[in-house]
This record gives sequence, structure tokens and C-alpha cells, in this order.
Amino acid sequence: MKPNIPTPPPIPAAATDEFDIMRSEMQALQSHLSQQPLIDENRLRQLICSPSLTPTRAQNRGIFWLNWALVPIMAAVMLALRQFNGISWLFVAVTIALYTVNAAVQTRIARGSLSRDDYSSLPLVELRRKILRRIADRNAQILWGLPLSVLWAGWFLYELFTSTTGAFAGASWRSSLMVYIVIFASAIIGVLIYYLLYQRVDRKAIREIDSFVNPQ
Amino acid sequence: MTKQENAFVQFVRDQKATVYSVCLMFADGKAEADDLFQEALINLWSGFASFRGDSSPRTWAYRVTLNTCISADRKKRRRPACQAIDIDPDILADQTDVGQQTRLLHDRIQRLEPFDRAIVLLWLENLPYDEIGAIVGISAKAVSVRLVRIREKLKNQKD
Repeated sequence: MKPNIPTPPPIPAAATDEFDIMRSEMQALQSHLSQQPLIDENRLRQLICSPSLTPTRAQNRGIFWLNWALVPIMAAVMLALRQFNGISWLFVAVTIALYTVNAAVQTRIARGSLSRDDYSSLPLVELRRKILRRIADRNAQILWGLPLSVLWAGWFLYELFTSTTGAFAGASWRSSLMVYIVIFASAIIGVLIYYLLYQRVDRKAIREIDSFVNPQ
Repeated sequence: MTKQENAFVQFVRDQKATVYSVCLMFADGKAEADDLFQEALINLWSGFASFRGDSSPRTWAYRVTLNTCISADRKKRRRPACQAIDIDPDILADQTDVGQQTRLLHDRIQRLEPFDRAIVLLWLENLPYDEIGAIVGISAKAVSVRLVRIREKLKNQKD
């Protein structure tokens, strides 16, 4: 059925340029649209009641809790290794300290992170600033985190080798070393893939914002 | 239905014309406008809880809708799981006066770069320069300069 379309407001006689004409046309359009249902309210209610659309920062909260949960877990693992493999107290203390600092850094990043509604509601310049800060945070994480991880892994290896009862004691130390290297290398590759992937997405967002604001 | 959901339905009732008109001006056709409208509604709902009334609801609706429309990767972010919204009727195909005027307006706005399109749409809403600047992220003076250039550009295209 054809809707009852209201008569648009007339274009003023004094309309001398494109802007005046466009404003009148826009008023006519909005006046017309405001009288249309446009969206079935029941459908709108279904749409917003969908659990996936409930505003949440669950992902950030998940990262936050995962990092803090790792601190006592790593402490327990290190204490068990101290007990059964004889690794040094210094290594145990440094490992717990490293994990605590990491959790604190992740918390800071998660607090300043972007949420989905930031992408739609922030002014572009502000959004750009926040994305750039996130890129810088990730760069700093890699710059400090990667060498520290390698150092820590080397030290851990040394601790395991020098302990008399550990996994590297006995004739099968070569296969243990191989397993250790594979696990460590996989973790580093995983972290690098995660890093490159997210940096690429953010850099693309920056390029899009730049091309929007300065199309030339 | 929660109080917030009811408030959002009322908000959409009040702002639907604003939101849809912006989507229509950014889209190539009705289907794309409908998709943008759906995406804008989802973004509005996502941010509704954090909207504290720092600006008017209309200004906020504009900001969210414009950001939705200018997002270049919007096709990727479409939600196939959601039931598609199909607006009836197609105003761009309408043969009435309003339809013809809307087509003319659409053609003029489509000739502009997306950034200029956003500024013009906000200006057409009678928003002050500082508010337009706050939405798109430039100074009020830059908005004024940009509007002069857009006016010239439109005038030249007409000539």
C-alpha cells in the first residue's frame, strides 16, 4: 500500500545557492521520514535483546583476569620446580616479579583500550589518537617483552640444566631440550603473529581515518 | 524488557528520520542505506549505555551514524546473523515531489568527498560550527573554511 506522503515544505523563494536548496530538500526528506515507521519496533526489540549486542568489555575483562590469574599459577609452578627440580630462589622471585609487572602493564593497556562503541561514537581525531596510543603500547610491549622472554627462557634452561633432578638430567636431555625449544619457539611465533595481525588492523584504521579527513 | 531497552526504543522513535536520512545520503542505493541503518542502530545501541547526555541526543545520533557510514570496512562488519531491515518504501525511487527532491539532494551530496559530505549534512541540520567541528574532529574555523570551499565546489558543478 502506498503511504500517505505529506507535502514537502516549499523551497524558499529567497533560496539563492545550493546550500539553501539542499537544506529545504533535507527538511522535506526528514519530515517525510518522520512519518514513516521505518523499522518495526518488535524487530528492533529483538535486535537489541540479542546477547551478542549487549554492551560489554568482556574481552578486556577476560585479558585482565587471565593475566592476574597467571601470577599465582606461575608462582605455584615455580615453587613446585624449586621443590622438585632445585631451581634457584632468585629465578623463582624474578619470574613471579616479571609476571606481576606484565599483569600490571596489561591492566593499564586494557583500561585505556578501545571498545566497540568508541569506534562509532568518538570523533575521528580522538579515535585516531587512541589507536596510535594502542599501536605504541603494543610496540613497547614487544620491544621490552621479546628480549626479556628470550633472556628468561635462557635462564630457565640454564636452571634446568644445572639442577641434578630436573628434566634435563640423565641421558634423554637432548629430546627434552628439543621439546623445550619447540614449545618456546611456538610461543614466540604465536605472540608475533598476534602482534603483527593487530598492528596491521590498527594501521589500516589509521590509513582509513587519514584518507577520510584528507582525501587528497 | 528493561528500562534501558524501552528508553532506546523511544530514542529510535525520535531520531529515526535523522539516522535514516544520513544513511541514505551516504549510500549508493536503498539496499546499502538499509544496511547502514541497521549497522547504525546496532552501534547506537552499543553506545547507548555510555551516552551521558554531554551532547543532545540528536547530535549524538548524528555522530554515531556518521562514523558508521564513513567506516570503510562496513561490509565486513555487517551482521548476517541479524534479520535484515528492509525499509519500505524506497524513497529514492519514489515519483512524488519528496522523492524527486531527495534524488536531487542525494546526487549533490554524493558528488562530495565523504568528509565534506559529513560536514554538509551537519550544517544542513543547523548545528553550530563548533558542534560540527567536535563531531568530525576539526576546529570551528576549519569547518567554516571547508563550508566555503564546498559551497564554491557545488556552485562550480552547477555552472
